[in-house]
Amino acid sequence: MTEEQKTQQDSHQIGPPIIICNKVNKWFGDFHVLKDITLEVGEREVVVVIGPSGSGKSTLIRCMNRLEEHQEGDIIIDGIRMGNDIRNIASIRREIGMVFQQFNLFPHLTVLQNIILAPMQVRRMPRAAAEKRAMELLERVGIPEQANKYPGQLSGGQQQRVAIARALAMGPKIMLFDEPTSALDPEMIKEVLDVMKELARSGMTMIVVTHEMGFAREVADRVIFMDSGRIVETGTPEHFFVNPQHDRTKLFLSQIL
Amino acid sequence: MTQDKSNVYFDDIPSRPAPVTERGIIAWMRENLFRTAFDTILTLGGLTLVIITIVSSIRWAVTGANWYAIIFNFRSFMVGRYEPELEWRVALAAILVMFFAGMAIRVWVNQIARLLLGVIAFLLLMVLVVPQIIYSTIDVPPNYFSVGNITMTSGQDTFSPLPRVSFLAKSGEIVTLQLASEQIKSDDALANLHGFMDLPTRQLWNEAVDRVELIAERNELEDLLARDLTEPIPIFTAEQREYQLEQLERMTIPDPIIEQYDLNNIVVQVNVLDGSTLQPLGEPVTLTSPEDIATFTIPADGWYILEKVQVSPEDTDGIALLTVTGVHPMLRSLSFTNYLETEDGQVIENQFVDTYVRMLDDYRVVRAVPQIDGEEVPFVVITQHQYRGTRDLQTYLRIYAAPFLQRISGGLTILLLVGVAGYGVAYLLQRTRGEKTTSQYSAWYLIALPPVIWILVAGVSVKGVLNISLVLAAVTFVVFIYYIGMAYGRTYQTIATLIIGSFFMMGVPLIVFDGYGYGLLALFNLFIWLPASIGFLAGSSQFGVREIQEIRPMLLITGGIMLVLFLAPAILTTSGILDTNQTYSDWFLRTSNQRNWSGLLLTMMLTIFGIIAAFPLGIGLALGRRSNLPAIKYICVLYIELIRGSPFITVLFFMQLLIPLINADFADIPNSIRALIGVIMFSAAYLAENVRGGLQAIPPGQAEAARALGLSGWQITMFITLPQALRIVIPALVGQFISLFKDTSLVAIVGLIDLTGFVNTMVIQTEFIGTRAEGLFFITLIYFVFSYLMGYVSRLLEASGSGSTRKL
Repeated sequence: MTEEQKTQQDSHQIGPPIIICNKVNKWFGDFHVLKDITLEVGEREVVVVIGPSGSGKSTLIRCMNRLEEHQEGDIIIDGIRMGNDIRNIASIRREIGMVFQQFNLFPHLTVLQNIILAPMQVRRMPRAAAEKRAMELLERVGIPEQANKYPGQLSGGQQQRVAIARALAMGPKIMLFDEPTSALDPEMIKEVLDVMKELARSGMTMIVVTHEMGFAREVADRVIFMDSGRIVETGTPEHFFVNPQHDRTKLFLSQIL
Repeated sequence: MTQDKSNVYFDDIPSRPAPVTERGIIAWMRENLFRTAFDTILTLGGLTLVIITIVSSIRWAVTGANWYAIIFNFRSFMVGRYEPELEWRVALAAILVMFFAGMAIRVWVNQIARLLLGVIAFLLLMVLVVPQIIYSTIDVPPNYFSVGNITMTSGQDTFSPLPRVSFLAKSGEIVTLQLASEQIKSDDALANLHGFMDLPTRQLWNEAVDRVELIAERNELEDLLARDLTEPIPIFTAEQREYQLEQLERMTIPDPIIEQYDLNNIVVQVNVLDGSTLQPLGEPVTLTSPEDIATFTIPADGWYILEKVQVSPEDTDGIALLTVTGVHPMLRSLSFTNYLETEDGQVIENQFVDTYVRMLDDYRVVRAVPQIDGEEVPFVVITQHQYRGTRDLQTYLRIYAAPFLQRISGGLTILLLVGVAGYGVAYLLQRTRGEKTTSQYSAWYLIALPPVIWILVAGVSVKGVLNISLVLAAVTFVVFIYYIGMAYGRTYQTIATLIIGSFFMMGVPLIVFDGYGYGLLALFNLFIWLPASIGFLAGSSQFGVREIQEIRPMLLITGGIMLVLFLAPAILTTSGILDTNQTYSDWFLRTSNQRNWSGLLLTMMLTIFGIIAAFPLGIGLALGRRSNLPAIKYICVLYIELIRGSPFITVLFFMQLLIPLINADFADIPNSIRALIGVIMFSAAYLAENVRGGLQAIPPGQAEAARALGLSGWQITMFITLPQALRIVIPALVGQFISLFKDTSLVAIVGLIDLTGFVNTMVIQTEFIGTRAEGLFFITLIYFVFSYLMGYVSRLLEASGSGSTRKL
């Protein structure tokens, strides 16, 4: 085993649970979206959530940073219990970065301003330090030359990479990805997935909702299959793609692969 | 033969320019204006409408309108009854604005600079060179004076030619007098008379015109009646014919006017006297035939008297017409002078004086009209000595255009040059300090401009400074409470602090400093309490974000500033160092009486400060309406719906008439300020709805992304949703501002004399009765220029920054 492979594996050593969901239930009106979700995600673990649309994948990860409110059960992030206390929510959000399907960049700010806004306002980082860090992150996602453009001037793939950099700028422990490549042209999906793979290799805890099975197979430590608000099956990618147990999973995989 | 269907082209096709589609003006017109029959009808119809409108307005402006109303009242249109001795401060404010405009063009809109340079050069040419060219190339229209012993009647008035009239003349000008010959050969010639005429001449002209018209009418009727008999189909029925014959009977043509009055059949003696010494300039000249010309050269600037009498036959009621040059109509106006030294060494300072203005070239004199035997010699006043007859373009240019351009030349030249200077200064700054710094400077200049304008126009009173001190104290109080909230969170001690603090701010002034002089203080404190509570809530939501040690110095600083700002005025007034009762103090900048604000000044003050105050208020209302707190939400909804449900004029009447009835103290607020408050209240409600529309157009993903980044609710509003919402609604906002600008004209109805109000005032002056159309025409131009500029700035704003690349 070479040195490089070794450090890679070390950085991928899954640590103690950082996200704990215990019997989480959520309703939209009368519609029961999440049903008794129980899930633990360890530090540095990469979890890919797949499932048909409407199965509650997005809602689950949106509950993890309180973009949606769950009604029953506990969500504990890095030891902090998600409740109605504003201060808890604020400190949880500071630890969790999120990337959206529609990028949700701020169109009135330049790329650089998009990235430095939250560190300066929330973390009270001085402008110079924030800009330095922003440029490092842009370097990391491969588009430092676009720093002073507006989001509207970038391609979809570039925009999504900016969105990743923006989330990383807060120095989160956990990254949530909500179908990050679904709105992209096929040509651009790869450049975003490459950034995500690099991120996974660096030891970031990630929960990724996606339909990119190649990505799941290559990067995921664990794959979770959800259907109608339930976790139907969970396991390593090998187990999942080679030998799925549940009929629903088999059906889904047969349709998608 | 087989054909391979999967061809692969390896040769790259080189790019080439797009084909030329321009095929000249005819093709363009055919494509755009006359594509179909319907298009053609629309084009021609539209064109006809435009041409009719333009041609008829120009014809009216050139041949019908009396522009002296505008020239003469120009100052009133601009500043109205504003204290003349403080007028320089308004001028200074205008100069500061123009300087900013110049800077802004260099910094933000450089691409139109060359076009503007052309416009400026054109305007300077118009006001500085064109009048001089007109003066030197176009002759003054002829003047006609009458001489004689005759007494004429017109209706109930009787009048006769004046033996003496006084007039203003400049050194070197030549006065010539001559018996009119061509003009009195026939009634037709008399009716064609055009120029300035005195009252008897005008009577002759009127009678001649009437007679000529009557003859024409009679001829026409006779012609018709003759044709009626000869033509196969009769024109009239028998009844009609009888009636028409009766009419013809009644049309008795009077004797020719020139014969009636026996025109120019007398001997006339004329002379010109010096206005102050009453000495004749030369021997009297006797005019017996049109060949005789009396010529007098004016030795020095000032008043002169034209003496014209009938010498023979002595007792007959004769009348003669004189063609006169070098005597021009004038107006007397009450005008303000800062400093003036009269001929006899008397010094006039800061007073209103009678000024005599020669209308044709704006030559002004403040010396009184000459007197003979203790009686004023009537001067050639424009109301008596009016222009009659046809007026062609040249005459128009000479008697109206040139004096008007000359009237505005001074102010316009200074303003334009200041604008150019602003541009130059910005250019130099960009060279020496860099573009970013320059645009920062310009932004600071823009922010400082409104308070500076207010201070210059309104002046600074002791009371005003104390007021501002209190407002600042209130603001620091809010910040102070914010830090308290931040330091101690939501605990009962801080709620107690808040209550005690607000009681202190609200109650103490009323109890201790009752002589302070504010009836409004309690209300004013209400405005502190609410923001302070919000500040506290905002601060307490930040609880724990920063260490208490970090906040403590901020608490001390804000608390200290607050106490100083709050207590200093109280101490200064109660100890008698400052006298609050001195309303119009000369301290620093003398305060102007805000009830005197009028004209364009009032319009602009209402607009500028209406916008500046309504803008944040409107945003606050929009945010309040979207708030989750029911109390705030429903107060905002109630306010917005109430105001939007009532006409603007009602709000203005409410402010002007009802507010003083509610509390007599409010009557102390000048009416212009009450109108301003009405404008602000009204616009804020509409602005709020516009801004709310913009906020609703922001996709929810924006706020979600911001929340996911950990930004708080206020931060999301300030940095994410509000900036985007405002950019979306720029067109609506500017439309709102433009309509605010134009709606200020409604204050005319509640008795304020703004631009529109002044037109109503102008037509009351005896000299300018019936000149409403001229006034409205003029103010329309002013309103249009400013509205257009606002729209232009709006389009620039929309395209700036991320506006050109916007994509959500």
